[in-house]
Amino acid sequence: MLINVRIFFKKLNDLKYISHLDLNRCFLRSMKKSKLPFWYTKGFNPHIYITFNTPLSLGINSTCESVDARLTETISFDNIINALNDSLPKDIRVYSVCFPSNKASDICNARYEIKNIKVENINNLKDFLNSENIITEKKTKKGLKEVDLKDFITEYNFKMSEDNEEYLDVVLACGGTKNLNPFLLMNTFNEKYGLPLNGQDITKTAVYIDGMVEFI
Amino acid sequence: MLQKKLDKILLNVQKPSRYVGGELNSIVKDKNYIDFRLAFVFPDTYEIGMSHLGMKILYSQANEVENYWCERVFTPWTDMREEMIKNDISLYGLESKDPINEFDMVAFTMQYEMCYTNVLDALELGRIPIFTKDRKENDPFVFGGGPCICNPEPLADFFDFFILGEGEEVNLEVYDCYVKLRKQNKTRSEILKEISKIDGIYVPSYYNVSYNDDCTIKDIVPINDAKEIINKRIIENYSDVYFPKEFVVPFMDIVHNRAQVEVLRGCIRACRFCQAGYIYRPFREKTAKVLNEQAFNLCESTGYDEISLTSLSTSDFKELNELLDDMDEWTINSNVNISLPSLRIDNFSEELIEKVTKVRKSGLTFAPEAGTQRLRDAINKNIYEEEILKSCKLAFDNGYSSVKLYFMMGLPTETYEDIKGIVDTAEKILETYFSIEKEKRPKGINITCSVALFIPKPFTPFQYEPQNTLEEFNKKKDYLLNLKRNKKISIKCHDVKTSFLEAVFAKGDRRLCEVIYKAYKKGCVLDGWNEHFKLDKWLESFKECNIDPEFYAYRTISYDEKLPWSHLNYYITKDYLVREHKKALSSTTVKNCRDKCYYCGANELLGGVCVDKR
Repeated sequence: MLINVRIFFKKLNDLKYISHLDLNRCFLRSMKKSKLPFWYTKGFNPHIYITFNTPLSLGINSTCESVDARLTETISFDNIINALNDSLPKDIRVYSVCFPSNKASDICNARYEIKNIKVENINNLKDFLNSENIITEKKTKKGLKEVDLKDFITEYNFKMSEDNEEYLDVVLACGGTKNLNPFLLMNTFNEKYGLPLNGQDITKTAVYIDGMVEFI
Repeated sequence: MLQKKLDKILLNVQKPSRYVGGELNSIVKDKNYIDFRLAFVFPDTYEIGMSHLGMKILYSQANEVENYWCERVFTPWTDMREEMIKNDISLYGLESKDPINEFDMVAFTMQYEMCYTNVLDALELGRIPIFTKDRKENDPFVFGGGPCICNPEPLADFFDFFILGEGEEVNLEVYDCYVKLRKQNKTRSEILKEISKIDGIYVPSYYNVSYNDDCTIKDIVPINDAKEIINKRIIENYSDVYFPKEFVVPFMDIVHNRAQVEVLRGCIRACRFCQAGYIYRPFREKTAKVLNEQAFNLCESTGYDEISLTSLSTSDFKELNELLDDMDEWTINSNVNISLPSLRIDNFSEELIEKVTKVRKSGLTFAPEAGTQRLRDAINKNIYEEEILKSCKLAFDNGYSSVKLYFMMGLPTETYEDIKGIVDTAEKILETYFSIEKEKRPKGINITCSVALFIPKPFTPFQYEPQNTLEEFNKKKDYLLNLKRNKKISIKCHDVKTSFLEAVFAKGDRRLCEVIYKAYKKGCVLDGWNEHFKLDKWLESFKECNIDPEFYAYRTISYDEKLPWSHLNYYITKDYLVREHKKALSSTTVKNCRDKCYYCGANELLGGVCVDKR
């Protein structure tokens, strides 16, 4: 009897530099090390079965990632959290485990906090986001396509951080059918104003299904 | 500070994860409680260095001492290097991100001659004076160990000292000595003097080398009461030698991403081209019990699903079957695959293959090295065609459809017939495959012949031999690749130009230091990577220093010549090497060490004949 579980974790600090494939490998090894009763695939190359619910781009930290796995025995969620955290590198932290409610395909939005925007550029960023269209080229499966990034922006707000720095809190389309990488948004801005690319700090803070309901 | 600079650039470089550390099992300590900081540099990229077992052993061992902290350093790729220079970022230790010139010592493990310029690169990026003579009181000590150190002369001007032989005991002796003397406020040169007295330590600046008119070595004279001869260190009680319980687990995929245990040291086979087989003598094995425990601990602490039993010749391990049986008890249930690289063709058995394929099949590799029996006899590779075919058939019967064969070209006494033998051997193996009934043989056969180019190395009988010239190699390569062969046989040859330079450094002397520096200044770095190797810049550098590289690579050396490494004792006597060389010229074989001792000199180390009879 297999039990599906959803493991929520944070990917912090320097770990923004590891790729999705690296993260996959890392989880497989740590889950094996934890000795928790995870289910292995059958066949030529048996390995622990996992599936990540959203891809996370290189360069972005996150406080809300999740990966699904299957257990072959019941075990308390607290045990899972502790055993995994003992086996994972310190900048990946599991904070919650539950039974999956939504499907990964239900995901349609994600919230990002975009920090390290220099004070002198804040007004430009506000103008940029307030404009009616933000036209740029986006890579699709069929090649480069001209798109309006505003179609992908669900909401945006400027907030004050604890260190008294103004930052951008933005919700962007996220998912299989419609997806905007926050780097594309920010680099379109950076290019327009002659700023260095990839200069901002981006952290994903929430994932939503339809109706801005948090993905669980 | 550094973090902000790194965040600015890391998204602009390839594979940024190799520059940030944070891996599972990496050791982070509080530098306020540390008396000794060691920057351990593997002078090549992260992917290569993190596959190296020796570094893992020495890293863990140093870190087990509570007040010592050892960190890892690798050569940055060219894009990162550019960004580092542009943004004023010094080379740093991965664990702390502190610049390496703040450490007490910087160690380099020298595994490959083509990494020599990477050493200079690391020193320059680390803001440490490249030349030993320019280092000041506060500069870290720069030392080197590893196989290339059996002839470290081309690096003599850049290293404060070298460690000859095996590091597990002497390294700690060096660190302890340093810490003790630092506390007594001794100067850098006083500390170096004390370190030089430790067995196995070679301080190149304590020796003056003079040359004859024909550029051969005239004399190597110790000054400052330095030892006349420096003896290599070995671990006598090898089964009890330190071995880590944990490995740092990289995020990215590296060359060998698996747990590894070291089964034995040295080799009994005496293949005449193989430097490692000689310089790591005497032959010593661990016990199956110890290895099983070490393998188990590693898999537990890392979550790796593959464990490799590494050594120069694992199938010569006396207790191999016992070890595999012991490991079966836990590997099958934990889905861990056992990998056995370096299998000998002549003792590859039904029993062995059955044990190895329990969980997943790794590839199978054999090393005939030469295509004809005549040449195999000359190099003392004691395997016969029937054995090659029998082992391959065994592999096919057990479902392996891919076999890799290692060969070498340019071996002493080689003829074109021997080269043709490479393809003939592969064809015969293919015939063996097709002789199996179609339903019983695995689908999709492919045979890969990986052909290296012979490089004469110190401490081998072939150290007296010249390397084939570039023209000879290219001619042979063309001949080999144009031989008619079945399309299921693929042939890959090593690069001719890098093999030439490797030969120059392998038998080089101190006059090459200047050349290496010049080449580095002209932009030579990451020479082991084909896309970065600049032969023209190297040849320019040789010319400007008035040195002919062919002197080192293409000369037949007389038995009486004083060699650049003659003051270094690896317990392989000249007498033995000369005897073996003469036997090679007449294609005469010798038995392996278990069957007969030929008194190479290593027996001096453990007292008497060093390997008991099977």
